[in-house]
Amino acid sequence: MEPSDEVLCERVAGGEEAAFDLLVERYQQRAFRLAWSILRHSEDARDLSQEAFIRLWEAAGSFRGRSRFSTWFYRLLVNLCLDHRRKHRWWHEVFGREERAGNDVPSALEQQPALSVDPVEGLGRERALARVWDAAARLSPQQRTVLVLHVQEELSMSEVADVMGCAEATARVHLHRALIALRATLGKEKA
Amino acid sequence: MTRHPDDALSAYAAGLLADDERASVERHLADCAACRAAVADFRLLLDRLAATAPTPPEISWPRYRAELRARREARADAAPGMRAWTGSRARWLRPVPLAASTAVVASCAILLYVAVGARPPADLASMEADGLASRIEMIDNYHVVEQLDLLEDLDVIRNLDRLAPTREG
Repeated sequence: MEPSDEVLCERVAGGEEAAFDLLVERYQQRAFRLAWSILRHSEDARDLSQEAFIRLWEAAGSFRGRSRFSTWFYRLLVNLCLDHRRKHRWWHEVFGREERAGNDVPSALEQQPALSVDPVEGLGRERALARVWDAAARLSPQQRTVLVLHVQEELSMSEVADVMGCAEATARVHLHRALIALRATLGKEKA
Repeated sequence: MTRHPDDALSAYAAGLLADDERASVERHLADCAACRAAVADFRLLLDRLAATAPTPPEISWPRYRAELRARREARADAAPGMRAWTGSRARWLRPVPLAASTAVVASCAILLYVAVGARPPADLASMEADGLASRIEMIDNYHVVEQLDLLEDLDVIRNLDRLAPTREG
């Protein structure tokens, strides 16, 4: 029987290279995909997901088993990605990579009016829905991260909150704002 | 009709509400077409997001692991103070950061050149004169240097000033 992630992490804490290699093989694709979904930049995603594994190697002993290993590891990775976005915000803004203001300020996307009638009818609907992840790329990093963790990685909102290091209510607000903003985009496409 | 539960509609669509709150929203939805439309939109969006999640570019996983191993070993070898430099692949070496770094270095070099170049020529002449003055003693004792076969005795050269009285005396 394959050892669980938690058992492997414990072995990594004891310096067992083989356990580390096994965890890397289990999580490499998920880690890269999650980092890429947040950053939308493959080189940065590669860099930061590898950095997360290095931090795992260095800090496996701090995993106390209070949450699942995946939640703990995702938190490590998401923190690296969001820190990276914060540190390089000016760079993204100057050179046109998608970077957004902090989560407390309503985005331009959120400020667009939602339609009062059903926005998912008409010719623009499919066009907008086909580009829904492109629109998601313009959300704030926190909103996008919640969307990615909940919708793409299928984490529960309680796990999302754990990974984001915030209250579950806060995570729900991020999700709510993200959906409001995306709905407004649908309305705009239809118009 | 009850007040529109705007903040709860997305959570309702995502199935995140507790039983009592869900029942309350459903009572409102029964009478409110606008909120029903909003819920329908949120559900459609969530479904479409789940169905069309973009996939990252393909990468070579053996190479990824090899890079990771190399980075981890480099990190282990590096002194703690050096971790900031070795922790990630040198971002400042990427094309755009490199161009910016080069521009900054070039600007500094130009400023330095302008600053040094702006000194009056008299300063340069003065520095050269100082240099010559410091070598006068060597010139005075040139006959000693001249007698050294291969200039192998550096101590002699270093102590020329102390040799001078002997010569004169």
